[in-house]
Amino acid sequence: MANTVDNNGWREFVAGKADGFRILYDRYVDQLLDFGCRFDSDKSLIKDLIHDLFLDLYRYRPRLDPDVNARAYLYSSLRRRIVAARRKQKKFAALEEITEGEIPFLIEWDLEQLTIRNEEERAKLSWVAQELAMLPRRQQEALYLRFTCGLTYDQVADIMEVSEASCRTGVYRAIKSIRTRLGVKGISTQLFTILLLQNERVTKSGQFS
Amino acid sequence: MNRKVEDILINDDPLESVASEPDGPVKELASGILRLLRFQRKEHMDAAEKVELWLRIEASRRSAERHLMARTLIGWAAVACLFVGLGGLIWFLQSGRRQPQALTVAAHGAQRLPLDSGAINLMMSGDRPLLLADDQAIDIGKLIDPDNGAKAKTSGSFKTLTIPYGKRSEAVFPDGSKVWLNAGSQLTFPESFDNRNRIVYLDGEGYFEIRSDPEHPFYVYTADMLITVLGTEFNVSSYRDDTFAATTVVHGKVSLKGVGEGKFEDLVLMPGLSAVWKRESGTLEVKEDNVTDHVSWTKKEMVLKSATLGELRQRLERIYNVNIVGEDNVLNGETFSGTLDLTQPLISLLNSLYDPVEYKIYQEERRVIIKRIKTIN
Repeated sequence: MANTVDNNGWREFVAGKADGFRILYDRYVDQLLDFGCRFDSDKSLIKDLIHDLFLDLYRYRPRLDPDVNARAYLYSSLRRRIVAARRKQKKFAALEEITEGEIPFLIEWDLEQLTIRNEEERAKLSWVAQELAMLPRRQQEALYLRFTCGLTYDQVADIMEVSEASCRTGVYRAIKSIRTRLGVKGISTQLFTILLLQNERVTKSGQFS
Repeated sequence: MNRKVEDILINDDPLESVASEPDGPVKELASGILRLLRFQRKEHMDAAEKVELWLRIEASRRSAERHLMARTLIGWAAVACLFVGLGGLIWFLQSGRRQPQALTVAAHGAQRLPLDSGAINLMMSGDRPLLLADDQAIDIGKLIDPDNGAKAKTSGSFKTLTIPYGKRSEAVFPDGSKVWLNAGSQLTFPESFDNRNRIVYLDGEGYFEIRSDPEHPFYVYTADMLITVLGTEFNVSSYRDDTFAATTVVHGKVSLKGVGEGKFEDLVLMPGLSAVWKRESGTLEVKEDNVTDHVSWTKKEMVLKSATLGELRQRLERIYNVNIVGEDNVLNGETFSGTLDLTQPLISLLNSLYDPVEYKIYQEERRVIIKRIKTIN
């Protein structure tokens, strides 16, 4: 995936360039909001946390590392703040244990942004979306960071506070799980293709993969 | 090569990896999953939210800096040093350049006021609006409570003057500068406005005549531009619902800087030139202009050069505070040139443009309707 990580805004900010702070904000705030809202639907809480984050960035600017990956750094920082805020609110005290770094990842996978050719494709992708929703939350988070946000494995690992290997394994398992569960459901990759094709030519007979 | 879906997508370049897979069921599934993962709805903030959050951050940042400065200064033992330190601190608080963020927050807050009320009013943050007479120039100095003056310097409160649709007004600043505000405009200024702290936020249209003071520039903030003025006459058009914002210089010169959504290089604008910021395309155009076109409204007239009614409609609606309704071929079918006299009632004005033989123009409550009379061929 051609993931251009433009660190210039970050470097200039850390170097203390005039307007660097505002440019940093412009460049990253939307992404940060999107990311933050995957963990808590309270948009104004996320905005508060982003406010705190930027304030600290400004305060500690002289000590920041200009070469760090900006997006990963900002995401991790926001994520930690969300965890801290949640602990304070004790929202999940009775219901779930919040283990270190573990907060429920809330994405609702949907088809709205996709251009879909026909009803069969829509049905098929809905099944995929359902399967995604049933994956463990940590795997969903990894998929979101890796594919929706387009981050590299080491960036994802930084943000989720795991090793890169662990990250790759998680992504691999998640996708494999989707594939096999679709197979179990009777939707083999073949059937998938058949449903996708406009004409009803059967390409291969055969096995469930 | 018999790759499984997960092998394809685990690749460092999944797009490439899918593309290089031969056509078939595996590729289709991998492609479908990848598409679904990539294209998810994004939570976002609209422009106003984004600015508001920024302003909060800036306000907190400055407040933190002030406390830091104060703590540093108090540490100085010698009286002389303390005196200098305090002087510096007061400068910091009053500095026009540091204020704008809070000013803009206040201005945005005020913009939720109706422009339809029919009365010129002054709104203070949190207070009830004060109605003003609309037959005389507004003295801003009087509106800034003299008792509050000392408090205002530290509390940073603002007032907003609202000129509703259908009205127009002149306002005079404490330093002698003047502004003519067109219909549907709001002008926000700090209570601490004085000769040394000259700063306003404009939403709408204003023609400014600024008293010269090179040591203390006059700042006009709008949604897209910061206009820095030393001693000048210029017109600013920055309506929230317009697709463009324009500054035109008549005398003197101003310097412009892009703010908010738009960013453009600082530039100095000389007389006879207009800088037009096009919001949709995000571009700035500087062009020579016949400046009477832009400021004719102050003389209660509008100069037209091959304009269609469709182009004028919004301005006329604000000035007369009605809705102008007509079919597309009516509004855009003909162009007009010349000078419109805006002291006339709207219907007689429109009748001077549209031949009454061909068009019927009438008013229904708040709507003025232009209809082409069908002729029998």
